[in-house]
Amino acid sequence: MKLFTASLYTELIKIVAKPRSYIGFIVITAIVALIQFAMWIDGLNFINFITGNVEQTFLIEGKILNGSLVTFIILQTLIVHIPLLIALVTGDLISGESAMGTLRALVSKPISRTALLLSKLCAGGIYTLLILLWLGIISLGLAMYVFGNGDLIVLKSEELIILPSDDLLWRFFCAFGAAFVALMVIASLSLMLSVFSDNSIGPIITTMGIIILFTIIGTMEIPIFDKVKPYLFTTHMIVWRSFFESPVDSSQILHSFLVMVFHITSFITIAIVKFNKKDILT
Amino acid sequence: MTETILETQSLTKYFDTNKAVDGVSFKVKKGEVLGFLGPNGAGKSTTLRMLLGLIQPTDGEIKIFGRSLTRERAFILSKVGSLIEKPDFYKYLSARTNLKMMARLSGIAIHKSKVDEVLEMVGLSKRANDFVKAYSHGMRQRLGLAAALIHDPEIIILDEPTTGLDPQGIIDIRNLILFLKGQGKTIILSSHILSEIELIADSLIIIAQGKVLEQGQVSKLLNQAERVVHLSVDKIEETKLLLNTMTIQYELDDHTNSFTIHCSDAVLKQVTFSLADKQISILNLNNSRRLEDFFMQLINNS
Repeated sequence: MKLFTASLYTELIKIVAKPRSYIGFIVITAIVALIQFAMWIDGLNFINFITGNVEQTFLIEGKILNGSLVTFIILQTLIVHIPLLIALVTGDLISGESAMGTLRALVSKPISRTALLLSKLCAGGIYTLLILLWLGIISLGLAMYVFGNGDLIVLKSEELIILPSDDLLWRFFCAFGAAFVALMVIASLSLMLSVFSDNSIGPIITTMGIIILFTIIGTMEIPIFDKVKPYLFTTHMIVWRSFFESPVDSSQILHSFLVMVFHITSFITIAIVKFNKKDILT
Repeated sequence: MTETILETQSLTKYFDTNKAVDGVSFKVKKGEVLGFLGPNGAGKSTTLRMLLGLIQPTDGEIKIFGRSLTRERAFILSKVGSLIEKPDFYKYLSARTNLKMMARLSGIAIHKSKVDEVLEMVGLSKRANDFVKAYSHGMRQRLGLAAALIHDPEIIILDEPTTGLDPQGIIDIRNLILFLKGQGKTIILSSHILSEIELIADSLIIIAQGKVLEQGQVSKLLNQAERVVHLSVDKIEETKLLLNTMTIQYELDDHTNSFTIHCSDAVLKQVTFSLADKQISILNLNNSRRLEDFFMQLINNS
């Protein structure tokens, strides 16, 4: 345990010192700032465009363009891209060390390979959490400050859901929690791929490729794909949206959560088995 | 009797169908410096990596401190320091931070002053806070040595520690190894600079194509070796005739008129007697048993 803690600490130092770790924070800050600026300048036109059909049927009173809606829009936009930012760091955790030649120094230390790998995963998890926290702070916090609080109107293809402002905070917390589990699937996938590679680019690109491929399969309405979709982790990564339904479908959330945990466990197990057998030749 | 601190038995490693190491067995005694020699691709680095748990042996066993490396890896590696080929570090961190990280992962409580002490030992204390990316190859090599020594290991495995160093650097490293030897450390040293090994090592292992060709005490091995004799005489033609009659192969340097002969002690004795008998004066006779000659002889024969 002492060596695990020491390794986790050194992994965090490395993440903090590596310039690429900040790309995620910079990109998220830029996109969130851009969306909020656009909504501040031209948000009403955007809202009118979206709610045009609804307003012909319903009379909407109050302020639709508020912090809750802006945060919800930001989440919808960014949740597809954040996995790529996570893979940029976690895909490099083993293969990057291998490419640099530093892996042999780590592996020739008394720490077991399993503990070394898990400490890297934990460091990747902490990084993921920090990215999400940052997203939460600048999207929810800043949006509430700029646009104010209000009820959230969620437009779906067949229904209109209005969530009162005093019923939103827990939903956002749960949504961020679900997003964290989803991103841990990506972190463990890219870490697993990282074990198989000796260069840092390969696992990152492969992770991105898998996400893109699974997302395409998930969105294509072709019957043969319907049999595969329930088993793809990308299908369940959007479970955070379920917290913005009324009533919340807890059985669906639990199912998605279990599928994602299964994927995380499988990826980590494969990574541990492979890493323990791997000859360090670089 | 000095205790055996490291022992391998029939160590074998296949990479796919290629046998990189073929039944290598050897023992290292506590406090000795073992020279590990072989041409490129002989299996030296693979063997040394197996000793550190970096490569899993296909067959055979490694015992260090009398314990199996497979079963008690953590205990063993906490007492082993290593520098394998070109040392690599986190270039975006300072040398001091790199060393502290290595120290933390060694599993032994290390006092902060130990980092300064080791940096001083390898001559990097003035550049300790510089990022490693600003380091020259030689400085990285020194930092690699510091990383190998930071946890005060009992066994130190050094694979080509002087690669890329300038002459002063090579001398410094040699002195450092001798200092460590004086402290009772056991050192396994692989190098292509055979004169360095000859100066430092107590015993030798020579491997080629994954197999041990020769092993033993340096002095004993060199005694077995043929002498390399450089001979200058006043009568060149007569000497040529004599050597031909004695069926001794030689090389003649036309510029210095010096003969070079590879021969045993007995043959050398015979040659000098015969020269005296023929009244040929020996102007200069230089003979040595150099590790380099012994090594080349073994490799060529193999």
